[in-house]
Amino acid sequence: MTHIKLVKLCLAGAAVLTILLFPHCVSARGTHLAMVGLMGAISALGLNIFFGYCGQINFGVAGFLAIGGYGVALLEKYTSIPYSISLIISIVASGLIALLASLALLRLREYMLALGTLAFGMAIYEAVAKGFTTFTHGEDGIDLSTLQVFGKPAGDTFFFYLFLIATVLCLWVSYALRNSRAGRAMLAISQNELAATSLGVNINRYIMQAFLVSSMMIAAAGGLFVKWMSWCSPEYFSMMTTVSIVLAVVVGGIGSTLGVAIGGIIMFILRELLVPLALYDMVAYGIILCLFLLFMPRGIGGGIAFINNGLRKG
Amino acid sequence: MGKALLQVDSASKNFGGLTALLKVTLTIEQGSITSLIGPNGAGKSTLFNTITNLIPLDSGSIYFQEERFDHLPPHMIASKGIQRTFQLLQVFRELTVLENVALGMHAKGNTGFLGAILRFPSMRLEEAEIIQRSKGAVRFVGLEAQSNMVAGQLPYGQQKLVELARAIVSGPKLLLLDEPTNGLSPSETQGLNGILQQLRNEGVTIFLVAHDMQTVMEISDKIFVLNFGQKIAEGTPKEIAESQEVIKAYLGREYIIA
Repeated sequence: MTHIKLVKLCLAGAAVLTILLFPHCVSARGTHLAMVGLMGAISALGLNIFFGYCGQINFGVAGFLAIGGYGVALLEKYTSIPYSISLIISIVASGLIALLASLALLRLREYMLALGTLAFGMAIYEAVAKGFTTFTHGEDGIDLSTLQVFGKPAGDTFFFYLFLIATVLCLWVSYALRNSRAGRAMLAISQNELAATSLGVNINRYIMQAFLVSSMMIAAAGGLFVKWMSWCSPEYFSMMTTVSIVLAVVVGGIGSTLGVAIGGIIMFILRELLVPLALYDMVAYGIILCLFLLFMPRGIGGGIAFINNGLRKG
Repeated sequence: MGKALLQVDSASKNFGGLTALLKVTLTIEQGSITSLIGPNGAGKSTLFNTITNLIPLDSGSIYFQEERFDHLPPHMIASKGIQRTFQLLQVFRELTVLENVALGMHAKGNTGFLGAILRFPSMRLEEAEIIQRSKGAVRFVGLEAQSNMVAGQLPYGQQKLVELARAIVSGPKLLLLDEPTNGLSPSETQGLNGILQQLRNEGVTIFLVAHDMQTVMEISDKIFVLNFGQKIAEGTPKEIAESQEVIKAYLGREYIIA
């Protein structure tokens, strides 16, 4: 038992050290990929609160990413609010919009909820790409200034650590929720609404709160991403982005926190690597999904649990 | 004993043209074990579902501790001190036994999202109490060795015990059990009867639907008989066993108390 703990501790220590030293040892391309991966991890963890814990479908993920991204971009373009504050404002705004949208969307369940959230995501996309182009500059996007930290321009290394901190925060929130009264209530809803209700779980309230927390995490990913890219454009927030994030949660193992984070990293890095395939990346996505559903239906998280159980039994 | 805990007052419910309940009036006394028997389709589960407000009544009223509550939403029932089990097992199959039972404490807690994320000291105290009580309930039903196993992987009889532990962990005033012995082996049934009597001795009022007449006759203080949605008899086990009407409608022959 203690032997296993020691091994685990060593592994965790090695992982932390590797991650911390990462941007100093790896090429610029490597760091870039890692950050795209972390952005995927944050988005997937956000979706996981609603989709994984609560068992409710959201196909409007990219819409919330866009709210975070455009929140930051528009505030920079039209006001002089510093980035740190505009990021927080965008995250809160995303929560408020989720709350408003939930009044309509969360009356729906299952397929209807999938369609409703899909429509929400599309509406946001159309609004920034084609609707309010006087503000958003449509497909041209909005250029953002380089972030200044203590008078020096922030490079990839700074953003890497920022993304890392955000990912760790999201992981922490996910774990704290998972092992609490609220987390158990959400899991109960996803598995058996009848039993959950008679135990006193207010189903609508929990689903609404999960939607809120979920949308705020996703918006954070969007707000971080556009500033790092120094450009906010609708192309980041297309349907394909939603598909990648939903796939990341499925590949990671629906409801499994660590698995979903890893799933997010893998899917987003893969997406970046598959860019040269042009339109054929969809085929690659399909094959990956099929392989996972066939051979690892519980995703990466299921695999981790399997290995863990094996270790425990010796 | 003698004080009314739950009163159902001429409750009626129709499903389309089908009368599920017709002016059912009954009183559950505090501290008693009361059984509800009757043929299949007599309306027993419907009555349970109306008491927990999963199905709204067409007419009539329900009082718990002299307070009318048939207008409350179903998720408010648990916080009044009423817990139930289901005829068709309703455990959270992917959660561990301990997590299942901890959900039985939901109505007693307050911690929400913010409390969980920010880890307020009050949240930690509450969580520690939930876990401690859940472990106690798991031990009470004899599932200590399985407490970290996923509930869906347990044999049927043990899953029924998980559901029971979840229903009793919060220390409810009224426990509604829908066919608790259904599908249990004779030895498991004996164990369950022991648990129910122990609970009654601790002051929990129990109202159960059962088909297993031996259990009903053995543990009940009082029995109600439903047939076609109507109450046709009530009384002690002895009175019910001798009632000609009950024999005609349900028992089929005179039931001899062993």
